[in-house]
Amino acid sequence: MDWNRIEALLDRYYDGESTLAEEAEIKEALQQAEVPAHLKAETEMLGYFAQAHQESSATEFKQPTTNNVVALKSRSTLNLMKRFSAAAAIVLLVGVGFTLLQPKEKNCNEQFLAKINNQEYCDADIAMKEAKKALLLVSQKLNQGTEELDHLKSLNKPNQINSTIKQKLNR
Amino acid sequence: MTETTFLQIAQRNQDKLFRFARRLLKDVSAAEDAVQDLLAKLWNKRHALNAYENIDVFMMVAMKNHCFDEIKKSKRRTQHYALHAVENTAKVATPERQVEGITTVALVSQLIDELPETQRMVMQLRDIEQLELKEIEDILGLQPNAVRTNLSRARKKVREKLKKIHNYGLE
Repeated sequence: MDWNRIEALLDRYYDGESTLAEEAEIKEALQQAEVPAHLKAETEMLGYFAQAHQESSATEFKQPTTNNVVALKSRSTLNLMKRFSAAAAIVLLVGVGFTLLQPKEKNCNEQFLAKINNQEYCDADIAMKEAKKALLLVSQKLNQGTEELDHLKSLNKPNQINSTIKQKLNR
Repeated sequence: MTETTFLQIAQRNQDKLFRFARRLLKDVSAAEDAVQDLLAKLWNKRHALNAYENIDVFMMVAMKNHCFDEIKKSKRRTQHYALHAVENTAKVATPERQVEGITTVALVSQLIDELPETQRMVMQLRDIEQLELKEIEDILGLQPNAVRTNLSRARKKVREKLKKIHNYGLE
């Protein structure tokens, strides 16, 4: 074995300049029974490369059938789907809860129905209360309006003063 | 792309993809999962795969990106345990501690796993998969010079570490 040649090839190898053919030549030389002692590191390193090249995956990829379509989907998409369905379930629960908790008064007998401020009531007592409240509000607003009108009286003051002066002069 | 063509390509590439994923994720079962996930993803898109000039290179690029995503995810997941993780790697990263009772093959593999990511990938693709430099450039998106430099550094570093361990063993 021309070890000088192998050493030269190794120099190129360590510089990252060797070709695949040259690397194969080095590997072959290092598989010999008598390799110089100072090339022990190279022997181990390149020996590992040859062995590592044989390593293979334990699971073989098979053509997916329609039965295992779910398994086919990568786990990241599955995770995303889980999150979305959780969110959808919450939205659904909240929606159902709201509809169930709505006041049921709308479904009462039309005979006893009262409509106040666009709200419908069946219970006479509650309807009365609501009606009172509404009327109270109207009267309050009305009073506020008349209070404003009170100021108009002051407009008459000059007239009154005029007439009192005239009366006094006439005397 | 027909189903038969896809399965042929998948079978041809599966072990290479697995070894690449194993080198990136440093975990056998995570690598198995990553390959199955990727092939399932590509299976669903097999009709669009005809557009790629070199399907083997494309699959390796896809594998690399998939693994990078996985690494990012697991980093996010283990952020809280960062301190704990640092302690663990400190133990693993000192090869001298584990030399005893470890086979040469496992030792070289471990030394490669300790290389920086780019050097590790370049060494995997060249020394183990025996790919042409042009293909490695395409897979990793590196300039020709960068591939050679990383390869040279990786080879020298593994050699130095091996020599150091042997000397340590002799003393």
